[in-house]
Amino acid sequence: MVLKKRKICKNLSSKGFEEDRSKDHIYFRYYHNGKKTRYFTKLSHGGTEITDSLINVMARQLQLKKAEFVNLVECSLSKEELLEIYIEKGL
Amino acid sequence: MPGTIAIKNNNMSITYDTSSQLTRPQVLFNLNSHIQEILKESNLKKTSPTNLIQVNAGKETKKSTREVRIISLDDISINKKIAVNVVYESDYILFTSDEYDVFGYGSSFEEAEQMLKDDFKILKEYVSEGIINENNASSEELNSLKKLFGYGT
Repeated sequence: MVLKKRKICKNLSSKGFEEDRSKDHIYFRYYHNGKKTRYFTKLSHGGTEITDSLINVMARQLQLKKAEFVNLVECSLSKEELLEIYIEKGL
Repeated sequence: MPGTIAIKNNNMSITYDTSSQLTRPQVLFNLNSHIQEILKESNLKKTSPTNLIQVNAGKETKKSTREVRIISLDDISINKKIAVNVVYESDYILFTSDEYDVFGYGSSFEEAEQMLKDDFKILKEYVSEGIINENNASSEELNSLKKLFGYGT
């Protein structure tokens, strides 16, 4: 499986993650009601897509199942559904 | 299984005959050890391990190999060593810690290690600021993180 980095950036940013490009990598931190939460992940600046190994570790870091992460990136998991998942896990 | 496995690193070349008694995993394990030595000796910065490996064992090319490395977190003020899984992919090296759900990757060990350490810095910040707390982490996870960062439990 392959995911486009551009799509990851776009969809994480539109679903509650704030993008931070000030470091060596692009960090995505999940915010709720303006407050930083414990959920974050990152991508390197280089390359245009990521494959299975990275998809798995990014999903795991975000405490999502791989399918949930893929759906988040592919847009079939909505912002509200993601929030529900994180509310259940604890914010 | 017939075929050859070769390491090519500029002028260095090592060839294994996989028709010997060694199984393919054993050959790959030995090959991996050689790669570590070569990387150590030549201090390669931007070389992907799969650029060093050519596998021709009759069928498909083996894409990635795995190993465990111990890394020190001293330079980010964490007085601990941790075990990380290392995965060699076709165009990057991936470090992961299953215990702490962190990872780092890059075209060299140094890049992957640095990226992994950046995650630990964030975890430390989040624990110290109470962003990771008993509402969103199990007591086991929280205690493990506090112990790692020296906050006591």
